[in-house]
Amino acid sequence: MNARIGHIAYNTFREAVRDRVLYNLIAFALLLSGSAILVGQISMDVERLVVVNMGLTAVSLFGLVIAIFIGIQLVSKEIERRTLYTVLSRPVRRWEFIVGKFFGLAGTLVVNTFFMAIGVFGALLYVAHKFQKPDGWILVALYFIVLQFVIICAIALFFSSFSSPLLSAVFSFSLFVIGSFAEDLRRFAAMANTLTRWVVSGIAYILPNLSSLNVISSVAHQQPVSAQLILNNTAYALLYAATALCGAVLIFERRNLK
Amino acid sequence: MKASRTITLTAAVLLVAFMLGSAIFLQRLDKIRTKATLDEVLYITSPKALKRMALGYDGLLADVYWTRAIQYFGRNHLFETGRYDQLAPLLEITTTLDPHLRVAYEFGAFFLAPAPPNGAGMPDRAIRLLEYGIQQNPQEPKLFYSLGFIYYVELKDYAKASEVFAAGSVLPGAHPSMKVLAATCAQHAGESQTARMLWIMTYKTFPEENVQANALAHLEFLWIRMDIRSSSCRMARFESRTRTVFHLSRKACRRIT
Repeated sequence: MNARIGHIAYNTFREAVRDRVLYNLIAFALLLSGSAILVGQISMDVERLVVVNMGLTAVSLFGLVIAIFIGIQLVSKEIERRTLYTVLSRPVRRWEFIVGKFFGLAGTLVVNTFFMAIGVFGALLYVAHKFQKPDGWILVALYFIVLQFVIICAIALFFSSFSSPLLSAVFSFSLFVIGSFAEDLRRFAAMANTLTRWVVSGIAYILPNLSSLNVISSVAHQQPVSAQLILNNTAYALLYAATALCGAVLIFERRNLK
Repeated sequence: MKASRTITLTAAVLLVAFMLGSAIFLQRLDKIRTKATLDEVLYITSPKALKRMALGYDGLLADVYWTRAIQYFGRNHLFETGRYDQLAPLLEITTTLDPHLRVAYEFGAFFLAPAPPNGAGMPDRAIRLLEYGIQQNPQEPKLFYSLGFIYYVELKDYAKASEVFAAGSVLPGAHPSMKVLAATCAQHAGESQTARMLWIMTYKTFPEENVQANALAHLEFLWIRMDIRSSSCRMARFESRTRTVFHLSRKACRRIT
């Protein structure tokens, strides 16, 4: 990574962590993880399960909100404040600006996830009194959640490179919802006739597949995650994010900023 | 006192007063609408639709529905309403959302199966729930145990209970007592051959002396019963064979006299 991208990423990170909304969202996620202890008490024999399910869901959902709402503002805010012109007037390429922004946001999300994960493990320790070996799979689930954020972050950046913040948020969230149904879409394609199958399969490959990145439920049941899944999910998430990022670069390079 | 401070103080006092007032009225409303609770309503009854709507967070939703099922059963059980219409759908939604939530099958079946006031009196729904659980978790012996227990205790279907206990007893991690239960049920059902086989297996599997003694006592009982049955059969055959000879001799005697 060249120094310019590093500087933009660092400044994006600094700007993001200064945002008060971010702290509120993290606080809510921690609160939700903590409340899992109470929910577990009014239920029966599922305290540990509730803590893991609720904690990881909170990390995922709040992280998603952070990814979308910071991601969509990355470009538009710079244009609105006219700071983009100052940056681009220096020897910084447009693609470097986009890639730097992406790494800055991804870094912010990794740090956020780290703090929210501490909350989840804290709640788990409170309920279970000790960690067990299968609890290590929670780290894999958290890693997959981070991969989800990387994809969503790239998608948000892609939309924000040509659209307004509001529309970018709507598009990004819609893609997240559709991405959760990716397997259904593929099943539908398998059932359809030749032409429809081709079209639907094509759409299914273009849309992000987020369902394979969700292992919260199986991890809550202390079921192991295969190394093959970890490897393939990593490769898929990085390649998909890179694709979305390339799309954002292509559009932003041609965008009239006057 | 400054005007702004007066406003702050008044607003704070009013806030507390209004909050208390609303709480009092809410309590009154609860008294009026005793049975009108939201928990009695299932807005979405299709488990599959809910699974789709969960957007992958079905584990958490399953926990929420499991908690709802417990609260629903607990409340109706406590107030002895005798109405458990929503219990089976709640459990079905829970287990569709998380097919590996073992606790929902085990406890859910024991909420559903017993006759009121102890349960919902729906043993058929309990069996359906456990069969789905076994289908989803075929290596879970506790589910076989629960299913066998319902056949044994609630339905008195000893043959089926024995079949289920026997199927569960061979799984890894199964409690050894399942073999005993399978043998006992087979004996109750009158399936002497199966019972004998299962008791022999119990005798061989268990190192504990008291269990072996129990198995031996049952085997002795079965052997005695088999002896009695075979003796009865022989006697009956003998009687049917000798009956004609006996009648003919009696007729001959009458003619002579």
